[in-house]
Amino acid sequence: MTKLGAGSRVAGAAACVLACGLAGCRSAAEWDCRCVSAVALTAGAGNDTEAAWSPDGRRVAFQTDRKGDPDIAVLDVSDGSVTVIDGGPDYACYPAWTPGGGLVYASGRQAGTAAQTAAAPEASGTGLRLWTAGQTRVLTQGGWRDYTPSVSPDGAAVTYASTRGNTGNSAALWRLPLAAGGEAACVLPLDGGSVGATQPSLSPDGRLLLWTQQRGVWDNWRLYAAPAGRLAEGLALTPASMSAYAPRWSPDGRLIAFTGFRAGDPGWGLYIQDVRSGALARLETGPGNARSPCWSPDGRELVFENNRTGVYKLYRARLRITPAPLPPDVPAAAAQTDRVEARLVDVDGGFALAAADGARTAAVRQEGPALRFEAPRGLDFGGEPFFVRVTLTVRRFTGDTMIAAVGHYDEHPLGWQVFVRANGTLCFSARQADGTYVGVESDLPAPRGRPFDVLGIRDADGGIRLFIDGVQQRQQAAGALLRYGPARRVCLGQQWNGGLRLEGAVSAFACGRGYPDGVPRLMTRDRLFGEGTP
Amino acid sequence: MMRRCMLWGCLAVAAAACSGADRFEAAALVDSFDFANVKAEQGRLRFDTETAEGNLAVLEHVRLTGADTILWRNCGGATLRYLSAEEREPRVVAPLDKRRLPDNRPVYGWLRYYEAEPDILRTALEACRARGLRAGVHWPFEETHWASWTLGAWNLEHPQFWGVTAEGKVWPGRCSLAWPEVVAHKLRLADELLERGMDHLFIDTWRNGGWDPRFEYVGPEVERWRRTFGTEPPADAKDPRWCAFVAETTHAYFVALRQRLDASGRKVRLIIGISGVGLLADGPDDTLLTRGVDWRRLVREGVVDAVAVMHVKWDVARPFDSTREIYGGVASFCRGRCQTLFPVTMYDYTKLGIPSYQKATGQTAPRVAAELLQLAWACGGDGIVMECVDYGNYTPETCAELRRLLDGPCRFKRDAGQERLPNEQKK
Repeated sequence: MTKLGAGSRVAGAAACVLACGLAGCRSAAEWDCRCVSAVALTAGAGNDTEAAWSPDGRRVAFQTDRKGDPDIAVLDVSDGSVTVIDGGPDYACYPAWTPGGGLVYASGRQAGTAAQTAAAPEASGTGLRLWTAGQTRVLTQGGWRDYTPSVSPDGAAVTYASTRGNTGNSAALWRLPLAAGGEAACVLPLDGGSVGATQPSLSPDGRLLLWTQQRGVWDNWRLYAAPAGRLAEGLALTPASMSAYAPRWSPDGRLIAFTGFRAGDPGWGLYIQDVRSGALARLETGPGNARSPCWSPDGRELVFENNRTGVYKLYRARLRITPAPLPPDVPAAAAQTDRVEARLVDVDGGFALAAADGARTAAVRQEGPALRFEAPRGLDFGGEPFFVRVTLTVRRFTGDTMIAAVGHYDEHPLGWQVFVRANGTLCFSARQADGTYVGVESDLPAPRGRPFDVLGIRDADGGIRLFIDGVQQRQQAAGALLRYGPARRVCLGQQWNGGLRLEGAVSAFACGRGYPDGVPRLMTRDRLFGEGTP
Repeated sequence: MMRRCMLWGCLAVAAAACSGADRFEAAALVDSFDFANVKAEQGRLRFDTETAEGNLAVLEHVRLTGADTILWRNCGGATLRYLSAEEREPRVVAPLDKRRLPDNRPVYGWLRYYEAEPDILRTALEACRARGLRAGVHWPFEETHWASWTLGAWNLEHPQFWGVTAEGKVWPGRCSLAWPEVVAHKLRLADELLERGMDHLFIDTWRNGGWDPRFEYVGPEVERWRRTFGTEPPADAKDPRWCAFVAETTHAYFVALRQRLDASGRKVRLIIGISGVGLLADGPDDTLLTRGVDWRRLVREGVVDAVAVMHVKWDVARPFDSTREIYGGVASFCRGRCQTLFPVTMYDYTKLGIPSYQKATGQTAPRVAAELLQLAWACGGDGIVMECVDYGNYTPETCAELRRLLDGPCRFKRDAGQERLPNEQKK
């Protein structure tokens, strides 16, 4: 272990009290949360970030790059002394305490160029380490990146972000039991372009998992939470309009502190959310960006990083938080309608779309097996969730896009689509409010020569999900908020204008509002955080 | 007809050589990244693009097309391809900034051009000059606005300058040029390129990374609208008035960039790449509506030295004739104001490149490439632009055909007063 020089010591009591703008220490109007003082915990060269307060309240672990690459250090809260616990040539980052006073953190390096790395990828990955009383144990290591770990309150397991097995700009959530011989397992598979989840942490009572997630290039990082065993039912806690990351539960599990930015803010700032009501408050912390808050064990203080001096240093602030507002008195929402609105049926040797009320829209035969249905009823989904289910067989890939089903609307001629891309993957797409494409792609190319089931979901929050033969695909997308009026036509096996024909056949089709059986629906705040839940 | 063309071309070469005419240019857009995962025998990588040697090998491959202007990509995935002082922090190597999702593709996801030594961009530009080639930079507009699938370091640290939609949604990593601080940042990046010896700067508006005027509802822009019109800005970001308004801001940026290049004391050519070009008289301009850039104003005001047309909206029923009409319109508009480069591109993401011409005409790639090159020449263009000269993208046969024309009948630019080719006289 290495002790840093005296220059790095800042005794808590003697630390400079920062110009937090005490008179201006205020929060958002909707809820009164304030930091009433802020003092520097670290000083000197380099960035000190990613603070984690130990369960006994005596130490703060953090990462520091004062020597160049990031190392893991621990600050003694009582005297300000700093001890480096991993200062080796590899980078070490994202410390998280175990209940017993150990630290789990990420460690890695990349030796050489990418071409050299390709020859021995496992030597260049980022894995997890467990430091306990001076001993370090390798928890994970491979040709991928494991990072942002957190340890469960009972110390039994670590949950973390990992790129293991991923192929896009992405990360998934994994869990590793800390007992010897524990096997890592993916608990929230996500992959694709700008799709991922990081910074998971279990609630203090162990029931809920909290994390931050991005669902595509137009999406902000948002906080999500779900019952720990049912992560597919995640609830977005922060609005789509703001960027939010680095969430931490308060010790009593009622609040979440995180890094956020909303239009008009002066920069990155600290936010507090009351989980029951969803109320948000931005803490005034003075000049510079303020990020990555962590709670003291008694829940009365935060440690965070701030760059007012030009580099990020750690600061400690006392909180004054008034009782959170009551959850909004929202009128009971109308019961969600789950209904098939149009189903392909065989009629006297021909085909029709049967509406929920039994009315039928006869098919207009197109070239080959393609079908067109003019003005089918019931597909005016507005902003509600809807689904499209197609059973199809692909005979061969043509090297071009092939349409399995498309809904043509006044709002957009390609309102929603199920199609096979030139590379063979299946896609489901819908549209943003302004008509911009939003789609998700299957993990693998479509099977050829056998029928398979494709289910696309547009959630009410604009999320897009895709299931192939009942298995949710790892890509997700967001922002599909187009309000659909009556459909002008539905085409099966070709584009609405007759192009992009499917080399294969559609054998079943159904489209409707809400969700088909067996599909996880969006969680509500009330269900997730209400008394006695989940 | 081809034979007659060649004859006239030979005559043109001879005449041009006597009069000291300018060479007809062949510009290539080169992204080392695209060469990074090319396999050679036994699965070994053919190019180590994080080394000087690897990039020199890339350059030699690109030269097979006959290119004499090499425009190296300066950035990608929101990371710079050189040792930038402006973009050093926060660290971009995955996973040291948790706001960046790691790129997990083999090889690509482990490239670190931003810290390779020797400096990749400086090395590439110096190598071009040493070979008598024009040394330039390809700076896509998405990175002019920053961000791609990951986020630029400076932008990550300055969310207060991010783009905002009419609904108040912030878009991470996309900074608005309406903020003076953002323009200043971009100009500092231009300084870094100048310092590395860039003689040509190609700003490609096609690669916008999803940015368009709908993300410009930022404080300064909304206030400017209110001051100008006394109303709230239109909520529809495709409203031509809003696009034209945003274009004033991007125009000011281009003017500032022009001044910065001029202030360097060197003659640096500023090229703007435009896409989706049709007949100029037809409807609103794609680049204006989707990129918020009024390229015609940039040409009229002499802000840019050259326009590179990246693809045109040709008619599948009359591929070359419609292409000729569009090229002719652009060349006519730019004549006397700036140079024009026309596309000879294998890149077919837009379905407007050589493979799509092949599909429409039944001709081979070398034949289509030759036709397009000759059209560019015959319409009075100053050269061609080849997008994405990736490894093997232009086959040896296509390269040979391009070189044959570039070294022969199209070696020099056609003079404005030069007699038209026989096939043109019929039109």
